[in-house]
Amino acid sequence: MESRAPAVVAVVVTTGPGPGLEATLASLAAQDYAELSLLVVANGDSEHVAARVASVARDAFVRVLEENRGFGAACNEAALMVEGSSFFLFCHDDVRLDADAVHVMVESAFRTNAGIVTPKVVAYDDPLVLLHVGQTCDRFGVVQERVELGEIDHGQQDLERDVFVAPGGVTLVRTDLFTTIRGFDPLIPVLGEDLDLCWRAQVAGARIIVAPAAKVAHRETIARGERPVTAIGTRRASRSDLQRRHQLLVVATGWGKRYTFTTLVLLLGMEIMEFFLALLGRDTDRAGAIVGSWRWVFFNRQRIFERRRQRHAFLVLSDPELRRLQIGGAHRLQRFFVTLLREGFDAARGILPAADVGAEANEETDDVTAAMGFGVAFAESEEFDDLPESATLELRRRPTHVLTSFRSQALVILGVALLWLFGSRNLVAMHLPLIGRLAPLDSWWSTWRHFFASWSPNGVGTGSPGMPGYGLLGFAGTFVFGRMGILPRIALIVAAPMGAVGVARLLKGRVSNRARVVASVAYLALPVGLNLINQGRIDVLVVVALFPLIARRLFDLLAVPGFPAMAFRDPVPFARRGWRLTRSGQRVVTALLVAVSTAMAPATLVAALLVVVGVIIARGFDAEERLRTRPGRVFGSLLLTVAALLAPLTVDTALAGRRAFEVFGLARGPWSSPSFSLLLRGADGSFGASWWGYLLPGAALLGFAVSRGERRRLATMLLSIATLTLIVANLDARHWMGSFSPDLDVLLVVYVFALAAMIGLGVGALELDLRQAGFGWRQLAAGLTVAALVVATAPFLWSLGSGRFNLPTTSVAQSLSTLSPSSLGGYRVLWLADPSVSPIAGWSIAPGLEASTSMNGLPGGDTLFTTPDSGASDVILKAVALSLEGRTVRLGELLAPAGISAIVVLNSAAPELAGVLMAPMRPVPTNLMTALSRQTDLSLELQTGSVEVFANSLFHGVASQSSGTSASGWVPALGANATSGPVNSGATVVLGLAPASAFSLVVNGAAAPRTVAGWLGTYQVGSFHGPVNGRVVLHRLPLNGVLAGATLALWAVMLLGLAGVQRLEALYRRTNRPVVTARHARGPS
Amino acid sequence: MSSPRHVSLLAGLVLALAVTGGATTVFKPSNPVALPTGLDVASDAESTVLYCTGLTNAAGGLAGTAVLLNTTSLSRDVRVQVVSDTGLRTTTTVRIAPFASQSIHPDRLVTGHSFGIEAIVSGGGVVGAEVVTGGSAQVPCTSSGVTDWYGVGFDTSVGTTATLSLFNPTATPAVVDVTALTSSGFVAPAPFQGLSVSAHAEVVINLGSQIVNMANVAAHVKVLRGAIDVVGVERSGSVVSLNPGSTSTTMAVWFPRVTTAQGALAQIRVANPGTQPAHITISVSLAPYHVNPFTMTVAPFATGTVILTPSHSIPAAGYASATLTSNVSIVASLVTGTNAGVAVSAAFAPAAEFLLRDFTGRGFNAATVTNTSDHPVELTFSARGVGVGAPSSVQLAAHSTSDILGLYAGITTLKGVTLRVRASRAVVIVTATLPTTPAGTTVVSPLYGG
Repeated sequence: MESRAPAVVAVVVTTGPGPGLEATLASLAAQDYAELSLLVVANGDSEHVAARVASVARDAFVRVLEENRGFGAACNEAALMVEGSSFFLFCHDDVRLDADAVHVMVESAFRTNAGIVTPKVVAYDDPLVLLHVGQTCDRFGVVQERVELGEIDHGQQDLERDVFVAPGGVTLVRTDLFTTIRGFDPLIPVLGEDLDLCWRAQVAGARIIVAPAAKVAHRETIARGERPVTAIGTRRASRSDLQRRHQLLVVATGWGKRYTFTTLVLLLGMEIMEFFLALLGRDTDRAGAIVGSWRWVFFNRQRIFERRRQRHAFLVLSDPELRRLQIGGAHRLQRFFVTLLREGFDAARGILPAADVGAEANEETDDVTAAMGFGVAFAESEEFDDLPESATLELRRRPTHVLTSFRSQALVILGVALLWLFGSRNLVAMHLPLIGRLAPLDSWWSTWRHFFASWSPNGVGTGSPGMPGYGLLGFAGTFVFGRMGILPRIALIVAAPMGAVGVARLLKGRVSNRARVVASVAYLALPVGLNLINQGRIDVLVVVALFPLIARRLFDLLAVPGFPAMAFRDPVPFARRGWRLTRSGQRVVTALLVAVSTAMAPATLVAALLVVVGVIIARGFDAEERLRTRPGRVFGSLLLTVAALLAPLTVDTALAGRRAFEVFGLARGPWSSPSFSLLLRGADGSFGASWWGYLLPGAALLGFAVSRGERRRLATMLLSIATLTLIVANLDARHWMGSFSPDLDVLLVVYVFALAAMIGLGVGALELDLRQAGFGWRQLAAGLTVAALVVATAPFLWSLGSGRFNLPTTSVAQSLSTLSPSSLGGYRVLWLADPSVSPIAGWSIAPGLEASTSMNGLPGGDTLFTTPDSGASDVILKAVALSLEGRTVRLGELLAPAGISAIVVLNSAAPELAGVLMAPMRPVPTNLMTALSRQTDLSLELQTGSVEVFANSLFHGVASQSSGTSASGWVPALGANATSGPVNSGATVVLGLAPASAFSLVVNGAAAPRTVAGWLGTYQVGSFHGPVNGRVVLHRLPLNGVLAGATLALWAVMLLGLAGVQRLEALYRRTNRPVVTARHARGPS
Repeated sequence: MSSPRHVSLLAGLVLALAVTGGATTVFKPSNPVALPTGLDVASDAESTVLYCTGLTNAAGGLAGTAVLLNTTSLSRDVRVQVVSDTGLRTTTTVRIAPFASQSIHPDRLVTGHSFGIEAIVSGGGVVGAEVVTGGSAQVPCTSSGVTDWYGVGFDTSVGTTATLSLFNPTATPAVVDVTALTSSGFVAPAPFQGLSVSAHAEVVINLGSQIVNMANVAAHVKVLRGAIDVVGVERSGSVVSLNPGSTSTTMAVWFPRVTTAQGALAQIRVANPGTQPAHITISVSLAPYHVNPFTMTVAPFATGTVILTPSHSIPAAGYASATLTSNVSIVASLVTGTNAGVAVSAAFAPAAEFLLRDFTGRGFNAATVTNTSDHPVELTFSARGVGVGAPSSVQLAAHSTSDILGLYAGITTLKGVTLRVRASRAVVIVTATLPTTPAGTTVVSPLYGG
């Protein structure tokens, strides 16, 4: 019996004018293996192939394929032609085998029972340099070499061992295995077919062995870009594209279901990060490759399903077993961080070097730099580590080009604007819920009237001057042609972007435009603005919009380092052109801005004070700082000007006595106020409450850490302001400052403003300061900063989903079907809630408990603002306080004279519907519920987690009457609005409108006699025959109107002065000119 | 920016932030739950209210009066509304002179079988009690409705009637579930579920109608909506008792005056409303004797009984003091009496202020004060009545019970006296028993506190 060696068919796939084909064939022909046959497949380009083959290997078979469908498809085609062989030897056309290579590989295959055998691969030009000794890969399909780049072959790798991947070039594959796993996948024409084949072979339980005794030289013409990739399906795809998509295909089909899911999720996370970093590094090729790979896989999903089915057919190794054969971790990510740590951020980010570097470098360096970019940090190749030190330094010191052109910045701004519009799309037309300060505004005319009004219905009524906020709303309503409903929507949609623009303007001239863009986006992404939108706090949103502008001007006036950008102009007279740019003009501009913001949210003054104090503190520790201004004087003059501009509010506050401090805000329940950790994140609501919320504050802190010089000084001031604000906010949240409880959300605006500005300075520091610093912790801080900035955008994007920033679609107040009492008559509803939940402005009774009233139903535009002076409304507040202290059981009786028909206790602004509606729960003091349930004259009408409604069983209307002499038996009078209607002849009428002295009751044309008892007016109706009609008439001197008019005049003068109106000057001159003319006229005569 | 001044600035900022952050995190205030209580608070009130229920007409066996006592130096106007189980109601106004009392006879004001009384006081400082005719039982009126009520120790066996009087004094219609625990487990009679009690109405439910012939029944009234006043009423043979119950479960209960007299009967009845077995230890103190602790395990949702009198372990030597501790929250009551019938009295919760008034005119057989805490407590006694002395303060040792007459020299007898006991901390229990034969079989609740 004759013994024969197993037959081996060498399949050489040649494409185009392969320069090394002859050498490849010659080396195969020279093999010492007797049972070797040679089959050459001409892949698409058959010109001269037969002749070239014949010139070297006469016995070789040649198969010409019409089109180039890739290396794998060609090998599959060749395999179909062959019968009876034991092994296939798949060869590229740019290899050169040692004479005993096939012999050694077959021998090794038999000895180890391997399915695939790969030789030791050395450089074509220098056989002493190792290229591959087998490869391995991680679970994400990222291949890792087992040799270092340029490693010299001293025989140190000459040990036969298992590997995971047999790199392409020369691969010996057992025929039965090749058939079982259905050969190469034709979907992979080139780059990655070796990984795919080996992965499936591993799954099928085959061993893959490297046989170092077999040596092959490989030119790697395709991988090195010497030859183009021309296979079908590779059109318009770069090598990076092909490599990524094929890796993704392998991963998507190489694991079982659970492993596939987790692997793809992890991979997606890493690729998203890589994508954003690539964008940051302007590596569009890489970003495109990432997106393209997922898109390609999606389009080929049918093939993926098919491959997964095929996998089940030959599955031998389980996922954990397969995983053990691979390397742990994520090789690509490891490379990134290693590069980051060793070479700094720029290198890790992979900024492409300037063109002249490539021109000066030799060919090899060209290869290296071509692979630079983000690519290096994330690439499999090791060249990056071997860059000359000078080159890396050069890279580190070269400014990045990301977001440096006007076009790219405009694109980013446009993109963010579009995203914001997308995120607020539903705010344009949705019905606005009755939460926060979103009560429907009255008409334009009525809003102005509220400003000039001598009386307002807050509480039981007050004659205090109208709040300036009404004037502001009326003024703003003019610009929307009286469509007042548009104003809240504008505030909700525009305020935060406007504030972001303000942040950018603040940083103008201090950092690059790129840093300003980042700071602006950070201001948008920080949670305060988003939370204020979803809580309907349009009053504080005005602060969000204006505070960066205010802060910038304060910095100018306080001569903070770097401010003002331009020196103030020399003094010019008031109202002259250019006066606005003088110090006086800027003071007025600042005061106007602060006044506008204060009119909506008086805590703005506290915010301004915090800025001033923060600057003072930082300045006190700055040895280089020279005292150029007096901050106290600056703030004092600002305060006086604002007080004059908001004269009605100033008068109200002066009259408020012990409640004066409440003008800045009412005390929230310490039990539901944000904790210290939430305040650190700037979160007072649903946004920013997760761990993501720490990212931007962390980025700001890191930015501060890496900054130097002028940026550091400015950042120190901002840090001082932020810290001071945070401390005050923290004390405020716990109600540790007594009745001084400035609106917490306004304080958080100051805090996030400082953070956003610090982030901008931090980016500026990355651009300039980092390159001047030696390698060290700053690089790590820079990396973390960038990572935090990138990752922090994710929740911001998530917030855009609802189209309304999770603003509830309805409110608890609106969900109350009716609040009207069963008996006719004007009525009031008493609202008790935490100040942050109440839909209406009111007065504080205790921390976490605000009381306010609405007339005849839900709150409206006439109760948007309330004076800090509670006046006669103290009767309501004291009654509720009595019940809270357990000192009364007849609250209904105490409230009945005020016409309170129902008490609504809110624990949340919106009803909670899991997954649909979310609003923070901010409960009132729990003992309030106990107190109310103890009242003998209140009946519980509705009880849910969000609201409890009690009806007053002793309600008798805002205007009530009692016939005869009996004091009991009060019934409503004067119809539904309590201002005019029928009364009973001879009745005693009590009007629950304060102050009683301001009203009279006209009955059938004659004033009824009045008796004032406390805040109540009692009227005795005479005896009439026939119908008796009464009418309530308000008698007040229009002092409020005069004050409001004077205030408006002051505003007009200020604005005209700022505009440099020449008419004022002309008017001034006209009054003097006739005198001069007359003098001249008299002279000659 | 690396100058020492900047470093000190940063350190200062970090320190200030850390201090405020740490302080506000550690001392985080909680949402206040309880309303201020105490006679002083009540005295200064704009208005207060008293709810009394459980009294019946003469045929019902618990005819009696609601006695309102003005503890202030100002006269008080009281608007009294009496409602009966028939739905009839009447309102009357009375004025109570300073430190005087006024009796309300509900059966004379409105027709019905049982009554609920609501007394709205203009001002505060008025307390009240329901006193059964003959002085055999008395229970304080309450000043607020409850949403949870537990009563333990009822019997529905032959010869005994146990009822719950539910009075809704508020303007909110109340809805209640009444469930029961017996020695054999949990019972939720369908007729007692979702029971509606109209605003300002009174309803009486007979436990025996659904829980037939059972000893030691515990009732739990869960108010689903509104708040009500509940009193348990038991007629056992010739003995009637009013059980004010308790509004919460507890892991420690004190019974400072448990009779051990010959011919008397004393039991501690326990209900375990939880899901875990209750391992109970009862420590009995009876000087100069040493009594070994009693132990008992009560299954989840069941009741149990410990007999203290008569007992071989406890000599018949006056009053014993019993302290019950449990590993889980339970409810307990003291059942005392004779073979002719027993009375149920609820356990008292430690408080800081008590008011004791002799409404029957017979005085008290014993009146003690107990310090339930591990530390001494300062007590201030003051009394009104004929021949009483000035207020005085004394220290009461930890875990001790003392006779009030021994502590306060300002009085020599409790007959006809109004006694006020104030403690420096809410850890004190005042207990009194009416003069009976054998002694100590009728325990009364103080007017205020407990």
